[in-house]
Amino acid sequence: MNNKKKVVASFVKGLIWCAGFGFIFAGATKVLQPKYYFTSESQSPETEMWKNFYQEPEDSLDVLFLGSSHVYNGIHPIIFYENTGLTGFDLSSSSQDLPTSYYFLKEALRFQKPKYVIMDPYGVFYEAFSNTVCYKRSLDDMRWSKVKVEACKDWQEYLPDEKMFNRIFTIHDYHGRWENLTEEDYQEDSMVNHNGYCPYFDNQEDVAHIYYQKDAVVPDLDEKAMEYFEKILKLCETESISLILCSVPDTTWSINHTNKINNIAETYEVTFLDYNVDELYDQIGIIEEKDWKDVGHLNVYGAEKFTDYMSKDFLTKGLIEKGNIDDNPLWAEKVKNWNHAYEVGISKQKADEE
Amino acid sequence: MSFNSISFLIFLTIGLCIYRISPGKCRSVVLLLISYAFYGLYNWKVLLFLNGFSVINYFFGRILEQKKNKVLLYGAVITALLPLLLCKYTSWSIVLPLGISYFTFKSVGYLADVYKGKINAEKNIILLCSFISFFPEMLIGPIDRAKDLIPQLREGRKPDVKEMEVGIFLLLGGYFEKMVVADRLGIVVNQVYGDLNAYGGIVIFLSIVAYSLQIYFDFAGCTYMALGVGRIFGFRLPENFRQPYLAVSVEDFWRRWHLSLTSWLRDYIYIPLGGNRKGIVRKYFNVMAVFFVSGIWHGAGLNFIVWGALNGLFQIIGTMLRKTKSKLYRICSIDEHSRVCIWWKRCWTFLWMTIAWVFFRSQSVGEAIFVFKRLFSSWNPWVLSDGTIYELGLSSKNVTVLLLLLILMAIVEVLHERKISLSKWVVEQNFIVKCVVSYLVIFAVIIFGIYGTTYDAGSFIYMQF
Repeated sequence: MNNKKKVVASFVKGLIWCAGFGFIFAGATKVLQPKYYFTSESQSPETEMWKNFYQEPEDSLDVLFLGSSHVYNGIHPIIFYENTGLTGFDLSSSSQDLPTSYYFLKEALRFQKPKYVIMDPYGVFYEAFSNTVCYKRSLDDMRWSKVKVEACKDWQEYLPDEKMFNRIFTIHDYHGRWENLTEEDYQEDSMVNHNGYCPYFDNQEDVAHIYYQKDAVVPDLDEKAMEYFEKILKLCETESISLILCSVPDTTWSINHTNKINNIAETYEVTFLDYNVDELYDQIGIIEEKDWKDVGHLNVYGAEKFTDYMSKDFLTKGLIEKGNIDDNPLWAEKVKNWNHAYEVGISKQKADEE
Repeated sequence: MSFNSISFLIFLTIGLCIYRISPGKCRSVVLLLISYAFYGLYNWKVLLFLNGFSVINYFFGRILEQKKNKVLLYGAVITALLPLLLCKYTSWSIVLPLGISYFTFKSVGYLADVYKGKINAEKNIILLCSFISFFPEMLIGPIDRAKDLIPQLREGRKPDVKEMEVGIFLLLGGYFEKMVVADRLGIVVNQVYGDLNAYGGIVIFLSIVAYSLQIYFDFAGCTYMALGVGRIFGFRLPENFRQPYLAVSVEDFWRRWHLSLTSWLRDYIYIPLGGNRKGIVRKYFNVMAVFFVSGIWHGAGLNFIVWGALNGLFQIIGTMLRKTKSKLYRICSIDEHSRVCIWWKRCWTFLWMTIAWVFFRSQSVGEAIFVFKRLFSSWNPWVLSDGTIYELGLSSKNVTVLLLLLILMAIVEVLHERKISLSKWVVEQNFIVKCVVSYLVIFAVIIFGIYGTTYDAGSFIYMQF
């Protein structure tokens, strides 16, 4: 073999080696990266949420629901659609702070042109950039784009140990999971898409609402978090989106929370609807013994009641305009799927109780 | 920039590309620049010191070649040793120059060899600077000799594909030993040494054995990395280890452990002191002197001196009892060279070395004594089965992996003892086998390696020396 041929052969071998390496590396990363499905032990839906979100047809969503776990447990986009004709998606994640909400919204706007953003303001009380787990969980399944790069850079400013390299090659952070792998890590998710909503059928009975507890502790507003609140406002303004703040029923929410959010709403001239007022719980129909998943989160029955009430309330107050429900086969299918999932869930719950 | 960091891999790739495309005549300059860049990225101020150090040694070498004057030699050696002594044993220096122990010993060896006429003083200042600051040897040795490395540097070697492959496999093997084996053992050792009061008996025994293994795989792993990097650039560096834990005596151990330092101490301290030519008492004194220097070289603490002294004592006692032991074997009709007897000797030697390593690992002599007190504080063999060993920082699955790894490494050591080199074997195989082996090693390191946000990539035990 002459010299030129040798060089070519070495080059080809190098390419084959790199391709093999890339293939195994991608596979290992996929297996080792934690999966956040609502059905998993973590009961966080981020993996599922992003997968489902990217499956939505472009420019097909009218509403985005932002916020923490209260949103994916309490706001049901399918019921919201049935009442309003507006298509929506719960773009919520566990302990979602305001920088995360901002980047979620920014990412969503790459694919969708929503008219409304309904945001649970609970994130205002989280210290921005303080939760590393939340940061990784929220961003790992987001597609790579300028938005994700920007988000990573922002986080790194506050968490210097969190390098961009680790987000690109997540195996760096998760290689130690080899000892905790479960069957789920090798399987493709087969969950039905409920547009970010996570149904939970069981209930907790001893849940007490502390709304009028005057000494309930509320964290001071974080300056950085407010900076991102302003960014969200500006982004909504630029994209001609109506931003509505709406507190999802949460037994840990007190009047002190409400007062703080009222101040923010007044300062920034944003609509804020507080659905945590004790008296409203009766109007919504929330039953203490039946409708809570745990302290702070609604179960499927509570979510149904709340979304039904909230969506109608929004219409009555003229905060949203009714959409067209008749000509949307995709959403008709989603409604059908949800009804099926609901029946299955109830039967399963009954079987479990027996 | 440690060998097991991503930044080093990027540096290595860029450096190698530049080195390979540069013409033969320029390669020594390019290599020097690469070495200086490596050092400069660590601390450019210390790079100025390293350059000054190399230039001074260059001129001392040239003068010593002309005038074979003992006073001049002592002056040159003291000048070379002075920064090391000041930096390491006083609080004079703000920054301890990286690898100062290694490049100082290289330089002293060079000066002594020039004085003795074993080599000519290097006329090309670039080559001498390259020799002193040769970056693969900078962090952790080996302590190379001028007669071996300078001719290779002069040649401006360009490695062929096979040599590069050997280098890559050596490098991968090093990563495996360091990140998968040594650092996993380190978790147990750090856990126990971090709270000695909480542990006793068998747990202490396991941790001191774990440290004996950790220091070997840590140091040998990094040496393989250095050898691999050198080989990728086309240089053959001296081996530093020859299966030390298969040694049958303490004396044999030191013929297998940290060979470049041991041979340096032999050539520049033991033999000049008279070696074994001036009677048995003087020989023993020389052995103790060598181990005293070895202890001091590792650190200023009394624990290092005790560690050195213990090694010297074990060796002397071993030599004194050699004939008696042979007699005893004969009386008992035991074949001293039988497999069982050899393995018995290996275990016995390992035990003595493990005792000495306790002083090496401890922060002080007092702590080492406390470790022994804790060792005999209780008799608790049930910890092996009641789940206690899974509370030493490693989960049950990790402990299983560690045990499998140790078995694998033992097999590799025995193969090496039988002169079967795995890296050479792999290189002789076809492309598919090479791919499979490289993927296996790389992904073992990626998945089972100990690294992450809390991991200090620069935590090689021997880098502190």
